[in-house]
Amino acid sequence: MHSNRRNFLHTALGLSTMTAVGGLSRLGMLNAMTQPSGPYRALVCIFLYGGNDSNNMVVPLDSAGYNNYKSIRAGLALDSASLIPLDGAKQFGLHARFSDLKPFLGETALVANVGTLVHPVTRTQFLQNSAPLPSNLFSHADQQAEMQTAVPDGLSTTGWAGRLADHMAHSNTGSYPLLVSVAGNARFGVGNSTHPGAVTPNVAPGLRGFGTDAASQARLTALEALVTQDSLKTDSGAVLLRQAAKNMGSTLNDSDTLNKALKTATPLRTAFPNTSIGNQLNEVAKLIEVRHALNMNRQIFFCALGGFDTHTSQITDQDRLFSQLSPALAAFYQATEELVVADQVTTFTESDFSRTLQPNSNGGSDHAWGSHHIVMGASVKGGKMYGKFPTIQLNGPDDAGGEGRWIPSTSVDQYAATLAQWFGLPVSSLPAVFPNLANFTGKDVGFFG
Amino acid sequence: MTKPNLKRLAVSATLLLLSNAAQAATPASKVTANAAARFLEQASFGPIPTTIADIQTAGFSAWIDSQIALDKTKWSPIPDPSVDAKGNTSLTPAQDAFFLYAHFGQDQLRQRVAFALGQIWVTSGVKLSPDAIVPYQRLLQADAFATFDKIMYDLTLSPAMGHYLDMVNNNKATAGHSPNENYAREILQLFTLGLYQLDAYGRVMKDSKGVPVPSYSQDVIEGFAAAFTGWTYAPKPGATSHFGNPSNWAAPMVAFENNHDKAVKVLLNNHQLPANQTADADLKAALDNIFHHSNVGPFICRQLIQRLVTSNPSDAYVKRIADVFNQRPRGNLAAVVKAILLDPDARKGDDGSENTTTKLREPALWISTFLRGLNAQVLAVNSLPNATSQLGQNIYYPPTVFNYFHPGYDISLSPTQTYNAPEFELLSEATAASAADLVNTLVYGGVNGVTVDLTPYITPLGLKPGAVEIGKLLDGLNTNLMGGRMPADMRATIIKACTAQTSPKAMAQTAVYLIGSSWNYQVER
Repeated sequence: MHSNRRNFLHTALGLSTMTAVGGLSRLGMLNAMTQPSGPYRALVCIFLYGGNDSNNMVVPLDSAGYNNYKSIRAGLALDSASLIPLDGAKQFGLHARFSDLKPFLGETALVANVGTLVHPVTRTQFLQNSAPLPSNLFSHADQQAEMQTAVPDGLSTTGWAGRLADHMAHSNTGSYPLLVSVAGNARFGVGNSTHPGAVTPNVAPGLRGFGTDAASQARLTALEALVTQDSLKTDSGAVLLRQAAKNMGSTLNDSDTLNKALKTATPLRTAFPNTSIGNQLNEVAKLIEVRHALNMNRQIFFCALGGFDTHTSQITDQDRLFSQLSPALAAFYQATEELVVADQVTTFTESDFSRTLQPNSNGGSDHAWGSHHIVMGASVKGGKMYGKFPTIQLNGPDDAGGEGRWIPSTSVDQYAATLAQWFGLPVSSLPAVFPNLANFTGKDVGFFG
Repeated sequence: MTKPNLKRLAVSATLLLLSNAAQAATPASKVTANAAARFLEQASFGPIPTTIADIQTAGFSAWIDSQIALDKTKWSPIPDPSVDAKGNTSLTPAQDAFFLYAHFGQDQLRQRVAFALGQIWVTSGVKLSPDAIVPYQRLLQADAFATFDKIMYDLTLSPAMGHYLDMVNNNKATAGHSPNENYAREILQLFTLGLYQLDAYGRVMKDSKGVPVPSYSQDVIEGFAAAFTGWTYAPKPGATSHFGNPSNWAAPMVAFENNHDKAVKVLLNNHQLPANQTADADLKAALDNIFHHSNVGPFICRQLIQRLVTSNPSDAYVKRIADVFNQRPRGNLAAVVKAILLDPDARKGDDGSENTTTKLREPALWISTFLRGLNAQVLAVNSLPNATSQLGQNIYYPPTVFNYFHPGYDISLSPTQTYNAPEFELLSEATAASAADLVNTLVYGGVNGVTVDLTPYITPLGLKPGAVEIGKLLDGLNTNLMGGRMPADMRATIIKACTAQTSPKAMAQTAVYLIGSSWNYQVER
């Protein structure tokens, strides 16, 4: 691939993106440019699709809390002896399948009961329907969208990480996208002025089948010309065509840039499990490794693991999924150590929602709301639970109904804003990235200390 | 199952290399070949010359009628799963057959509608065994032109759906356990109503504060969850039946009254199911309660339009089709599908004019249309399922109950402007490159079980390097692949690339590669 051709494409596409950016955003970017970029930093999101039952990911170990848990969870209750204590005080225990994280618990924080909120809401307000609520609670697609956008009406087309990328794009001198998904498209990464890159784990980026001979190059030139041809611009009905062609244009540019950078990489010594999430995190580690070649000082990655919608067979299904997640997380942390960026990379989970504490009638649990999450990295003050853990009681103060659907005590806005500030987002830019954050008092959950 | 003898079966059709030749053959027809081709992109797995000619003879309406009336013996037979020596079943024969029958099946419209319905009433091999999926897909095929209440009843009681969304063995409420809400929630949210009250045009209704009005509350979900209790797999022949029967994919689920919740249930529009009804009476009444909700017509019709014709139908288009849905017999899908395809919005653009009736071809339709257009050979054993899987569409394996892409997926055209375009959910920098690579493999290498032979584009034209016949090559491909809609600048670009090639074969390959991988081709309009 020849970069001179790419430059031509890039200019054509760059112009069209700039015209789409409103004056305000540009002003914001100018302000941000005065901020020092500081050392390299990366955020890695692992989205647990389907609604991870975090009631069984982290369990209270104090006797009152555990006994309440055990009596309500009944057939879904985990044996307290099997749990991995998070800290010396043994207040909370992780699911046994997280044993791979034992050496890294000091770098692993748990954040309690995070979820979508318009602003703080009590059980009474919820039951009386007297406070605004996020739209379509308990629905997968909507709650995924709201967790990924940090906009509680479910309608935002931009994700919080995409908007964060918009505001941090100035940190990178390279043209490669700040945000890359290794798990397909997600609203998480869509920005107003930036587009997310996409890489398939273990697949070399870019087009195959072109030689260096004149005939091959003529075909490649034509393919590139078809992406920017004039008829795309003049045809009023060609909205989708233009959008698809624009994506192909950035595909050609970005894959060319990435391929060149990947040639500079030496293979990682850290071995990753050969699972979907293992391969995704392995790919992320490779992209972090070539950050200098890409001229990137900030990167965001999106990974995903599906199958958490455990309406039935929860014990075995969640066991299997955690058996994939845990060694992949451990390997990734070790890879960041190998790359000497362990304190510059923070990995965190999101999910649609948690699940009802009360089991359903066939071995599973149903859609709920607030969920506990994992944050991992050497900058994280780990071995600790942050936020407010819910009272384990049906119809209790934190239950939205009678089945143990926890009303979140920390909003996704606060959780994400904590990550974004560590990433380098200035406080002055918080409202632009998190329009709903003003409704909450704390802007930092504290897991970075 | 009857195994088709299809060692090297291909669409047997005469290539139409020149669009004016096709039109000259039926001078009296009101339907041009290009208009028929465009119609067949919506009503089939891609236009081929014989079907184009059929439509030019019969007209759109009569062709649709003949497809709907097609005798059951002409339906494409979905093969049983294969079983290896260890007893492991595989869905591969059915997945391969999807592309085989997309390629040459006579029941094109039935297959398209079944494929569309299966993307609304989603089940998936991610959770289900091959034994469960094949009967479910046959049910979709059989019910493609049925009334919607029959579809609701058949699919609700199918053991595949029972297992996929956990209605099977869903027990009545007992101390400390609630009925499983999964099926109750998804049948309302995804299969029939959607989250919000819709008006006749399919637009979301809002209250005085501008807030969308929900279609149902959590209480209603709990009402339906209770109504759907008491069902288990049908007993295997000769076995004693009990609640919790072992899986049986061959027959609809059966009810056990002891496990059915007998309490009063509150459903949509405050409709109450009285206490102590049987499981079947509650089920029928609950489905009837949903079926008569005013959302069903616009909700289902909009999605069928999206799957067949366009990503972004006008409100008026949705209403016209929903009106057909609401006629008696209510929910008649044969009438709905016909109305969708004959609607003025669908036919707008048949004359080649600029239009917004458009969608990105989903991977399976893109590749089937491309192969039919090229008169390729497709064998009973082929690697096309793997090819579309790379693009995010693994046949019969959507990742979740939300299908391969959400019907409401919007692309952002600017910070203030969005555009509904479901298939774009699969399009990323990674899949865009993979799509071009797939065309590269088809044209220059080979996908197992698929042969693209470009000889008809080379020999009859006397194609030789630098010859003016390159123009004729483009004419032929424009007709067979693009229904005559290739823009002039695209044509000029491809001719230039062909001119740089050193053999007639390379010229034809270059032209086919550039068309197939182009967005002018991948976006259907």
